[in-house]
Amino acid sequence: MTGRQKVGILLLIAAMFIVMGTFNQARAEDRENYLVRGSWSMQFGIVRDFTLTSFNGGLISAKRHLSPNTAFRFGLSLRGDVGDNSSETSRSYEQPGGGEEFTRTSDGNTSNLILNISTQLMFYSTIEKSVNLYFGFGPNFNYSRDKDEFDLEYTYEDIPDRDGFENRYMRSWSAGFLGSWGVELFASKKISFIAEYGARIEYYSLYRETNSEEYVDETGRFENFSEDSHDFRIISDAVKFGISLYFN
Amino acid sequence: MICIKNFLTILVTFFLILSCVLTAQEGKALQEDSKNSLISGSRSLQFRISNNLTLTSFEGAMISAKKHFTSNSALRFGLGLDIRSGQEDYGAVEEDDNLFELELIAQYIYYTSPKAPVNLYLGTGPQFTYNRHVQDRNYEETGEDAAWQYDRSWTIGLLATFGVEWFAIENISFFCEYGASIGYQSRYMESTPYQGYQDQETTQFRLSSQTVDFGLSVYF
Repeated sequence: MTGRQKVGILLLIAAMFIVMGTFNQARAEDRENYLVRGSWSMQFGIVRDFTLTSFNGGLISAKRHLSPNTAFRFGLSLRGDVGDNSSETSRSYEQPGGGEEFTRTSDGNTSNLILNISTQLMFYSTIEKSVNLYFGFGPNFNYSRDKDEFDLEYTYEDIPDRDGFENRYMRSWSAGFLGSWGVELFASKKISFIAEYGARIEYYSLYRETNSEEYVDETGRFENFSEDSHDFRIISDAVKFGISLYFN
Repeated sequence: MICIKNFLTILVTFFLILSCVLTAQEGKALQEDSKNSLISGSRSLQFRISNNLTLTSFEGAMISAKKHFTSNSALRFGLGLDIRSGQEDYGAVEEDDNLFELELIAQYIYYTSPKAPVNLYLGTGPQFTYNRHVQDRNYEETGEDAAWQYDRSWTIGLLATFGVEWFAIENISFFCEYGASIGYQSRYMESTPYQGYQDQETTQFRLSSQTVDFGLSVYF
């Protein structure tokens, strides 16, 4: 069976669930939960000591029901900064034969970005009960970039000055599929608790590079390091426990 | 390379199918009226619920309050002010410690359907913080400087929040919210450790996700 055929079968199964779901909508008003077409919910993770945290993404984790049986869950994390950094450090040492003083100055800029997107199509095997089994799958993408560039200068009292630069760069990304399976318990019609297992298969790429140069008079010292790695990996995610709040 | 290509094909196919499904399906509004305090003129205080269900300050250590202009819209305001000045005696060395912290947050909050039992809200507004911390250590006998540390930072930015509020009773609600901020930060630090001097200046544009907030609102 080719990859395209496998994808086709998966999409067919997904379509079947959606069609089945539309028939269940009619009985939605009788149920003690909010697994109905058009409902929206936000998910929050529950960690130790009943502290709420992010669930499927640091910025937002939301779900929309396409039918009572099927839903689309979306998680997003986004963080980044770009800035300048300058510093000066002076030190003086008392030693036999006289003191010594040196100054280190650095001037540079830093930037970093972290982006995580995860989307899942969720299927509920039961929707009538107060505890419902569900499973979901969908693509997952992570990107991270970190860059620092600094000019450095060391000034000494008695020996020649040193200057140079130091650059660091790191970029990683991963793309793959997430699978999750769990249970949802409705405490009331619009509030539920969720507990789920999850795993993902993904392609991961990492590139790191550091360059530095240092000059004393006309003499230079150079250092370069780079690493490029690629992996296919299957990872079991930690069990997630959370609360879902439904609204329209 | 072939593997990456296959992955990208599957990702694009998934998004295409999903967008078709989303377009085809129309969301049915299931509106249920419920009694709550999301009404014009209502005021409330917010408290954060942290570890082991203990209450702490929400937006601003001093006060976090909200006033509704209409059932849909409100202004949430947070103020934090911390001024401390102290002197510690460590025997040969004495330390003066002065701290000033100010935080101001104002957000326009919009409720999409204020009559529902669980209400979605979106908010946005400016944020300003200023911190100044000076620690000065002197030798008690001579009065000479032993060490000195100065740290000053300020941030100006824009906050955005999206959360849900659930009314347990008419005038008490619980809310959970995600948030993000974009802002400019400037920080200057200076210190004189033993036989030395150090300063650092950092400026930054920052986009960050806020930690999830879980809290309690009491309306009056």
